Amino acid sequence: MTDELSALGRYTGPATLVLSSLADGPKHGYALTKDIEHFAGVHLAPGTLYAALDRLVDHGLIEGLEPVGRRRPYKITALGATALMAHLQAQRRVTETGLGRLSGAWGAP
Amino acid sequence: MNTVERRARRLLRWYPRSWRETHEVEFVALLEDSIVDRPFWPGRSLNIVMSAMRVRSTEVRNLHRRMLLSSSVPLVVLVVGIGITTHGFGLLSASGPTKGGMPYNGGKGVPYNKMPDFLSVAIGLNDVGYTPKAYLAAPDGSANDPLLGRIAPIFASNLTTLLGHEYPGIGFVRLGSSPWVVSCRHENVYSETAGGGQTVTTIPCPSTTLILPNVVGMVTPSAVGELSGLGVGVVIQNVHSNSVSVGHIVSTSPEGGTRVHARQQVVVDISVPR
Repeated sequence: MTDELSALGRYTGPATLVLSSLADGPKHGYALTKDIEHFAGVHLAPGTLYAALDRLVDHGLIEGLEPVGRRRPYKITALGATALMAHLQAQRRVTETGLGRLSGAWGAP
Repeated sequence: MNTVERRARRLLRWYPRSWRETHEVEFVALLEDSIVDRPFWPGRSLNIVMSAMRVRSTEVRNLHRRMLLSSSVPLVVLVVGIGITTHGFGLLSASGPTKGGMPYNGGKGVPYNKMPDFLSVAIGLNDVGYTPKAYLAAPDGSANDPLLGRIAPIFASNLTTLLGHEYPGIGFVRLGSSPWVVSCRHENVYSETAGGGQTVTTIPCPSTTLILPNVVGMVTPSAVGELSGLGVGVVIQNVHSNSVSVGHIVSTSPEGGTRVHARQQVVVDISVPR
């Protein structure tokens, strides 16, 4: 399956976090970093966040909305949602395989 | 200006001017929030410097390509008329005199004032799109700019680079990644002129009809990409299927082969795990 997110190279990680965060509704930059910190325990630095946002907008996976005050919310597009789904499903296969083999060979839970 | 804002603006200055023009307000707001949240975070400054350098190096690369582009002798005309190589955006020529395909004129440049407002562009057989000609204009809007006389013969790959990067997220619409066409909401696009003024370009939605391709069995991103590239609105619906594997298209409504309006909504059933 085509995995558009993996094609983003070094931005795959931040892009996945951003898309996952936007999956339940639009958020501006600061709300994104707080949300990502909350669900992933990763603190995205501002430069990294905007590099990922720029690329996601370029690829049509998210779009910027009208600014609210000084802050511009970003919204996931239909294309972004399918790309995220494809990427996460591929990741899930890796996760499940890895965990399965670990529990078989190493007795991990 | 308070201390926090001063710190934020100092960090912003690492980015090139063109980037600041589009991101300044929101980025300064984010930096201020970030500084208030975590006042001591040396990694933040380093991260911004590194990110800004990457933006700058991309800009230099694009400028270099652009100079190559403007000095090239007539190449292959990839800005094409309707129906010659495209299925989707070829339709634009039928929808009025202000937009449409460029007539092929044997590789000679087309004067700016003779160009339609929108140019159909093809990259190979599967990548088609259109772009407002405003994005090909000289920064000062002059029709006598040396660049303009040579605009028509353009390598489509250069066009993607030129427009996709220099005006991030706007300009050339690549098949399969067109948020505008999917939603048809972006009607006004603002761009800065060299004098500090602003030009507004209105991007209409495609308004004619097309034959819906059959995407059943395709993987989701390709199918959605193909449909959205044609301009139809895609509505995704998750279904369980015994015969179609997960991530592939089970069916569409209306089905492939049906004639639809370019902006019509198409419901796409995607096979998801039980």
